[in-house]
Amino acid sequence: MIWTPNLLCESVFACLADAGQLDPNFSFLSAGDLIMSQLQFFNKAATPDIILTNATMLAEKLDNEFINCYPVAYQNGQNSSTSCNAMVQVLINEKNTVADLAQSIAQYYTF
Amino acid sequence: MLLRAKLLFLMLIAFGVAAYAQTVNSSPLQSTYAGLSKQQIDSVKGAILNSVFENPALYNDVYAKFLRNYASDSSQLFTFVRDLNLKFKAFQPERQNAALGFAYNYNNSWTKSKSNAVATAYQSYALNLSGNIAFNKAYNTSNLLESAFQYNASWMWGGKVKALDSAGKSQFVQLQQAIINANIAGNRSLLARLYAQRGALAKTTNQYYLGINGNFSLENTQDFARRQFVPGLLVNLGAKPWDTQQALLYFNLPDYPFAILRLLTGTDSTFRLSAASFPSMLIGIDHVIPGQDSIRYKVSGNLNAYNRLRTEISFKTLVAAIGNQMVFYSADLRYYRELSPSIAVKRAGLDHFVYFTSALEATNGFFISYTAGRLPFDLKNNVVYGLGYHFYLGK
Repeated sequence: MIWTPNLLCESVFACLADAGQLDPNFSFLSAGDLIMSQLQFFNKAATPDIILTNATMLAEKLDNEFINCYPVAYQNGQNSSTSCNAMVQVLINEKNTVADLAQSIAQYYTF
Repeated sequence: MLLRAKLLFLMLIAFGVAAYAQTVNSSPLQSTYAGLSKQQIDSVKGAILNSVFENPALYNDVYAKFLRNYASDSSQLFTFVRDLNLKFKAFQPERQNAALGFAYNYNNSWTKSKSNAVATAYQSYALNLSGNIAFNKAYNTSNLLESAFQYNASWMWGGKVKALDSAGKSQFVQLQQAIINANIAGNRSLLARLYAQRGALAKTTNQYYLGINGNFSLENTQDFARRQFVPGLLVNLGAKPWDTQQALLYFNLPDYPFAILRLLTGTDSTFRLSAASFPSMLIGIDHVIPGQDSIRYKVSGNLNAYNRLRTEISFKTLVAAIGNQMVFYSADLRYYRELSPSIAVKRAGLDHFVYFTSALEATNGFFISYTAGRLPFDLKNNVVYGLGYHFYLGK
């Protein structure tokens, strides 16, 4: 996915920065290239159990913020469960980028 | 398909070897050192080739190129290969030469959840494979391969934001636009004010996580000379004190020195503990059924099953943001203790294992790391310091 200034990418960036996953001053334009292990929740030294817990908590927070604070809804046939699950799948793979996360979110929410 | 993938990978490596070998021919050596014998020249060539092919960066580069060729292939095999995190690395036990090998890591989970206004309940199945393999097994300093299947039931409370009405949502989006503009303009003081306003609009409650895992894992050394089946029950605990007005945030004890560093480096304008970095914890009981463990058999005279306590604490926090570089500190402590071990097992030091690893890593890949202790199956405690670069070579 192309990481550009649009509502989806900006929302993903602002939510991640607000959730302490990256420094708010980190360049928005280069944030799409950050990989999951460069975010705060992903400790490469931890066992997968801990990474999965942190990913699940983060996905739940993002989902809650998207639905309650932005003028967006779930895509047809999607709900909180399917959306969070999709985000967790992206979050637990250390090689996925923030742009990959935005791409996955685009498939579940009407940004 | 599998054969095609293997062939392509071998061809790529062979191509790299051949291309490099062509550049190391004898004539420049002969003209530089006219007095060298053929045997000496062969020895120099061998040493040069070894130094190149013992470098994990070469193999990581070849593997990344291989993956890039199949980036758009959506077949199951290549999806699995892409999800398998394979990284070539050098193993260097104390006072020995470095040896080549690789680390692998594959995590996948399938989750279903049900939510109400207060909590969310999850059920999931997960498959986790991880380990380190050295091409010469004698050099493997972290000789524990884990293959685990898990059933997980978990509950999460909080982490909720009060829903905004449509006017509030419009205001929220406008505020976000201002945040992005300030970020692009590099206006740090304005950004801090705007994020504070955003936080006031989207106030999140504290979030708590309780997970109970039924865990079925196989632990073994890379040559399967020692292996054990480990069914177990794990309790996974997590908390995120998003609500800065509540006391939980002040219990993020490991973050205090880093909050001071963030203040001193100008990363934060005030002393502020990080809600996101609240440590995660895992505690559980494993029922270990040794399958093949000659050392344990030699020590205790049997391979009876035993129970083992297992705990892990994980922590990662931002240390500083300098320019467009973020520096994170991460630490992970694992502790395994056999419950009611025999005196012989105790004397041999096989009743408990402590493993601690910590690292400072910048987003440009520069890292300093320190690892101490041993994992189950490691024969002795190792202390390993690391300094270098992690290159991200793409998926």
